[in-house]
Amino acid sequence: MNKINKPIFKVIYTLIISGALLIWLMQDSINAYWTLTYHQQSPLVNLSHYKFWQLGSKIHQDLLEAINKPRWKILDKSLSVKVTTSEATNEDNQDNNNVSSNEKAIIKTDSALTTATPPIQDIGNKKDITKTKLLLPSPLWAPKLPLTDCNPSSVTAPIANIEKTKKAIKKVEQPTELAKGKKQTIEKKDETKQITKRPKATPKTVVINKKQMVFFAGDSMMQGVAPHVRVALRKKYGIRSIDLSKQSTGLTYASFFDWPKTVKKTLQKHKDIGLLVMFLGPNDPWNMPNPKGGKYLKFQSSAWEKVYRDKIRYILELAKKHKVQVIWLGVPDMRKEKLNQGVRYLNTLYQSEIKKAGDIYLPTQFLLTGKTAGYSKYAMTDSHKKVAVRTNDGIHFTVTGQKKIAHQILSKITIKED
Amino acid sequence: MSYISIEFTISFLIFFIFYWLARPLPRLQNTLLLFASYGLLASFNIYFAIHLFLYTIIIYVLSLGIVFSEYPKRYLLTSIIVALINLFFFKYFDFSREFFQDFLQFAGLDVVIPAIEIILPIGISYYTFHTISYLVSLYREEIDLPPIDSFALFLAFFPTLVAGPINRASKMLPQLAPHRIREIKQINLVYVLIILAIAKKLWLSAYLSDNWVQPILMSSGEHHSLTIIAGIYAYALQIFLDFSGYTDLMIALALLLGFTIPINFNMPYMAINIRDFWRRWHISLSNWIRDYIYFPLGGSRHGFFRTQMNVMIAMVLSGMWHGVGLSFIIWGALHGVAIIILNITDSLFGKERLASKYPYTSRWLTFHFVCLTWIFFYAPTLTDSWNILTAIFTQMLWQTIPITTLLFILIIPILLWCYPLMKNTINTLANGLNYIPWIIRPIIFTALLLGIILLSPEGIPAFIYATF
Repeated sequence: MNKINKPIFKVIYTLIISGALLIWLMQDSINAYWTLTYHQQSPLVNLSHYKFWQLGSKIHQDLLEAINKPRWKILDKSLSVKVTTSEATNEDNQDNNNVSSNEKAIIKTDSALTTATPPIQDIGNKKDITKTKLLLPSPLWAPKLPLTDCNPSSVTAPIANIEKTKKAIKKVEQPTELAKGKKQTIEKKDETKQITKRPKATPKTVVINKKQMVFFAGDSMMQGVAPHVRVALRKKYGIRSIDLSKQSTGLTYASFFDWPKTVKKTLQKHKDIGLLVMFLGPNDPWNMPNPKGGKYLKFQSSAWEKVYRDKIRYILELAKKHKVQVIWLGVPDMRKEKLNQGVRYLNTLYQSEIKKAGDIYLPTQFLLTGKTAGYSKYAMTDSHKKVAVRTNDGIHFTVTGQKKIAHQILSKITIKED
Repeated sequence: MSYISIEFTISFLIFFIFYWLARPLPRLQNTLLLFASYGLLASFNIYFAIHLFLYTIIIYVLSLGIVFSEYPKRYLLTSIIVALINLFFFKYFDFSREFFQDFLQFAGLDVVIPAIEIILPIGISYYTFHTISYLVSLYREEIDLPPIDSFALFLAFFPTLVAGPINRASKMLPQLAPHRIREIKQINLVYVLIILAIAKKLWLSAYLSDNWVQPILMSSGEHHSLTIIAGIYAYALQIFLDFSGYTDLMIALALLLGFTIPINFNMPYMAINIRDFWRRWHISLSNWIRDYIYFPLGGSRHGFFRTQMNVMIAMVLSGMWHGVGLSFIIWGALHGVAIIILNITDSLFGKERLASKYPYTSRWLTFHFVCLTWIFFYAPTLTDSWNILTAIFTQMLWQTIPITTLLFILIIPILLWCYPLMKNTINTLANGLNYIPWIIRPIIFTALLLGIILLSPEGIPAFIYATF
């Protein structure tokens, strides 16, 4: 061995041992990331029957619990003014840590290796920041006071040029006016699955009074849309709202984030929620881990569909139980064909379940592009100018797009003067 | 593939082993690097790799003209124009399309320029600058004509591809020379830089963004003036941590491969004036603009007025390079104006006399000016920038000032005060590593990294400057 090569061997040793140790300790996060990104079980799971291997996971979880100790939350509670987004999500995250034990790959929220990007890796999405959802405006170790006398809003980033992303986006310097007078378009026939039950008459709008809250749930699409709706609700009617939308989530990967459970907790905690708005889907059209264990359920198989429909139904029934109305948004077209077919299928599931429950299904497919079917990055404004409504990743929305959808949601809400 | 991800870590480790196994054969190492770099680029999008490949060939062929033809200057100009058209097309097409569309319609022509959906290739701003450095150095005979694979590697070199630092052909090509056996220098520095980079990027920058910058600046209309100022401070810190963290990681990676690349930061918020700031912030960019825009325009050799014009042009172009839109032009222009004012006061009162007399005040003023310009850098549209600015001045009358805001705002002067003391921290840490036996280093590093990761907010962060 050459004398000069010895330092290089030491470096290789250091890097490999450090890397191996980190993988061992961060296996939970890696497994979750793998599932979300590659839609199959992480290869590390094969090692999980070795006691030594499991130790790494245990150390990680113990450390996480130590960091997330409730004593900080008590401090938060005594100083915060109202029940707001931040509190709700704080405790939700806390409770998410204690999910049932048969879901081994519990993902703590503090892992750097859990994905912030949607499983669909595409270039051109400058808006990684939209996905960096922040749940509370306060630092971990400081007492949480409201930043204003209004509710601290959980926000997302618009198209910020300098936002951190590895992909770039074309900036749109268009007036972000909402498309006025967009009518509700009629669903294309081939999109609607045959509904076996007699469809109930769907209400045209949701009626809530000013004292009630609105609960926004979903993935990064909702993260972009919700702030606009929330601002409008608060400014015009003084209606408070909760936004728990979180990037990379959906209904498929419950071990990463469990929406049915989160909805249940939130509805239990906030009795004055009158409306739930759901907007998710693009993270879902993949093979799903079988709740009973074993091989993943193949996407669109009858077993898969049953599990998925059960989840939708669970949420809808929960809402009914708490006397909460639901607006469920359909997913717009996606640029990638495979994803697009996936979400169109999901839309049929959403629509049939929502119609059965008598809630409002709000399709967005034609909303952004007018009459034309299929994905389009641009929409025409009233003055016949092209304005970008989708970002370069072919999935998310520009601010203009977000506002259009927000406008549509608002048009479905009627506020009762008390 | 993000640099801070499990895929990159494992890929890099495997690559690293093969790379150093090939140590006696630098040419083979170059080949491995070239494939790895193109592989990384293709992992973002295969078309980026194809595009860079074609671009490399075209530029290289044109550069042959610089060396072998009778009219080297023509080939120099042609190749620079080709490089700039490439950059302009991908970066500014959409923006200029709208601009020209409006112009044509104004002129009565009902022409529709098609709105092509263009995706910005990763690294285009950076490899364009690398290209120009190569072409000019070739023309000035500062370098010999390299083999095409060395040139290709110079453009695609993955530590500098995505977001710099902006390298120079005269510095990099000699390092790629086939007779030079490489070694890993400053390994302790490498370890410190990697851990520091992860702490800055994954933890601190992400924490600031999630908890301060985003909630405050996104809804500036709802916060107290002091809170907004706290948000801007947070953004100033965030962008520094983000970018310097990324640069630290890239420098470390390059060192691990046996290369030295330029530094980008030298305690920028310690700058005593705006000129000093640009000597400390994104240094590789400042130097590039100085050498390839400012000096060719004439620099300071044609009288005072012309100098200020050159400064302004250079800064506005810098703004445009950073992003598409009026906000960036204004950002650049603000910095240009500040430098011009500095030049004026220098000529009136003596060079940097004010700064040397009152260093703390100067530092404080410079920091706050830079923070002001960051507003334009951050906000997506001018309206947003304006909203933030007006919010600062109109929302002061509220009774409730959050405690957290006050704490944060107080931290800033303390940081500015203590900052100079941290000048040698990195070197001290690196030297300190010497005292830790190499066998147990992995345990220390793993413990540190684990702690950082546990404290970090969720998710894999991307890099702000990779959008340019």
